[in-house]
Amino acid sequence: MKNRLRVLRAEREWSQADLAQKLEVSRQSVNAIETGKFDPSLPLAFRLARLFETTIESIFLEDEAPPGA
Amino acid sequence: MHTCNNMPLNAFQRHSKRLIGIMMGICLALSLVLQAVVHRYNLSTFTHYGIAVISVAPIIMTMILIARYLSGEKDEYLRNLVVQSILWGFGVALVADTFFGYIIELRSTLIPFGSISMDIFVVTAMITLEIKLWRNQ
Repeated sequence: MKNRLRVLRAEREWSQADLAQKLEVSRQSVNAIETGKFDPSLPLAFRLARLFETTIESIFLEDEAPPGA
Repeated sequence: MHTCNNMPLNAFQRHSKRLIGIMMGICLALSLVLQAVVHRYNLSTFTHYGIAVISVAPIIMTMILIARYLSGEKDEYLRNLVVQSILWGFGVALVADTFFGYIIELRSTLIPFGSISMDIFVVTAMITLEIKLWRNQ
């Protein structure tokens, strides 16, 4: 799943470590989410959305549009 | 600060890692002591069963510790990596167990493998976790 985490983080001039600290996860977790290696659970996605004051859909994007869309 | 592949560990992670390491040491020490006792003395069948029960005690404790760690780990990515590493550990331990089981059966060779399968499991899981963390620096 693609995401705009790196962009949102860069806009706020936060390092991966800063974001990890705010989310109370490891820096490796932030890196894995940013690079698309790991899709976060809904609770963590909501925490991200709350932190960036936006919606989950504006952070995480589907790789492909669903069939029939 | 204790680290796991340059990753700072919190108190809970450090505590869990230390306890699992201690249990691994107990498993290894116990297996060596019990092997020596079994081969040196002529023991009754009842004692053999007693020794078998003693030998699995630290393994059960380690499983409880791992389950406790997994339920308490708040970092879901790390939890995911640990579960994958545990599966690798089980896989390698099963492969080694089957291989050496046949060697012992076919060649009647005495290899104290059964008693160190727990250590193979934990070491494999730890190496796998380190590799996975290193790949995601």
